[in-house]
Amino acid sequence: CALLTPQGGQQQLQNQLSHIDSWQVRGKLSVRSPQDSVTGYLTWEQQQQDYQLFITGPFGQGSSRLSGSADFAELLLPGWQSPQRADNAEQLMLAHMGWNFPVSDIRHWVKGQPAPGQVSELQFDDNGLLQQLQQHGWQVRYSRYSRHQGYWLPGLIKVSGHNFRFVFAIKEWTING
Amino acid sequence: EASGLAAFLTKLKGMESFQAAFVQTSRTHSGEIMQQMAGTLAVAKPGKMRWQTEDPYAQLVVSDGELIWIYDMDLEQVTIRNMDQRVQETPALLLSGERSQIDDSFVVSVEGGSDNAVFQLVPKDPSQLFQSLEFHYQGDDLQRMMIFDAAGQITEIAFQQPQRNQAIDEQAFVFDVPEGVDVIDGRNAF
Repeated sequence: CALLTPQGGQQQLQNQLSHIDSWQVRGKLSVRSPQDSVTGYLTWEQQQQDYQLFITGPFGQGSSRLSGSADFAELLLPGWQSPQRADNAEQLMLAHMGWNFPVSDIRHWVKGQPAPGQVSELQFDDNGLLQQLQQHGWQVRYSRYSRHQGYWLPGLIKVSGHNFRFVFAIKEWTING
Repeated sequence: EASGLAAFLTKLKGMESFQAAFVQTSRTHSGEIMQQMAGTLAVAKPGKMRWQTEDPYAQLVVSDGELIWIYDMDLEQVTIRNMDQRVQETPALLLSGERSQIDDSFVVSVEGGSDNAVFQLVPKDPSQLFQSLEFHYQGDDLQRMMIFDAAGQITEIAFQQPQRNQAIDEQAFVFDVPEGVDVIDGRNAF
């Protein structure tokens, strides 16, 4: 029946995703960098331009918080008494965590949609859901799509490029509109 | 001061092995629940542990006393690490740890009577992931662990049906890498 498979094809599904600009995801994040590999629990809240990410260690400790908006970003790492600020999140993550973490792109990729700007490759599955994309030097692969509040959203997202690999395993999607 | 360490070591000494189900709840400093998950823990000396959490945050951590395997089913990934690097990330490992591990790295204080002792462990090295740990006992049974981290987050690991010094099948502390998962060998790098 209509509910079990995505309806309307690629274009319509992509248009639907563009309506979502306030959401929250909860799940796990694994980061593999040239020096280290860490895994933690992730809570990411996006409200139009404003975002807040909590990343906590596997045993509930060592939580980091990244928050910000279009023109500023703030990072609080475990052990810091007060947060550090910068113009954008990418600067902060690279400077203080050594992560090349494209926050403003992932905000779109996480929904199963390319970010604005140049896209070098897009592959859709036969249901019209994004399976793989290449953008800004990153390769993004999608799987475990499921329906949440009427939208088809990915459950496993593997982002690799620039010697980094981020894997998002999303357990809870909340769409606020 | 010394009495806290001595009393805590006595509790640990009386625990050759420990098994329990648990519920782990992480709250922000304002008390809002960030994550909650259920799991099971088995610990045996020296340094052996099996820590399994269920969906939605499925993860299996196995330590044989030398190496630790962290298998994340959601992420389709196994990370292998040396045990000594992991104590700060795996507080439960302290339960099967040696005296020196605790004395070298923590200042231990105790509150409450002998039947409801609360041991507080503050790391001597401030860069640890957590600011302090608490081990809450009811008699000789460990009831809960609390992890307080620098960002003000508090994680409670509440144990249910704890069993002390029962035999544990050695297979619990052996890990075979499943087919098709990514393996990250972090033994030497960090």
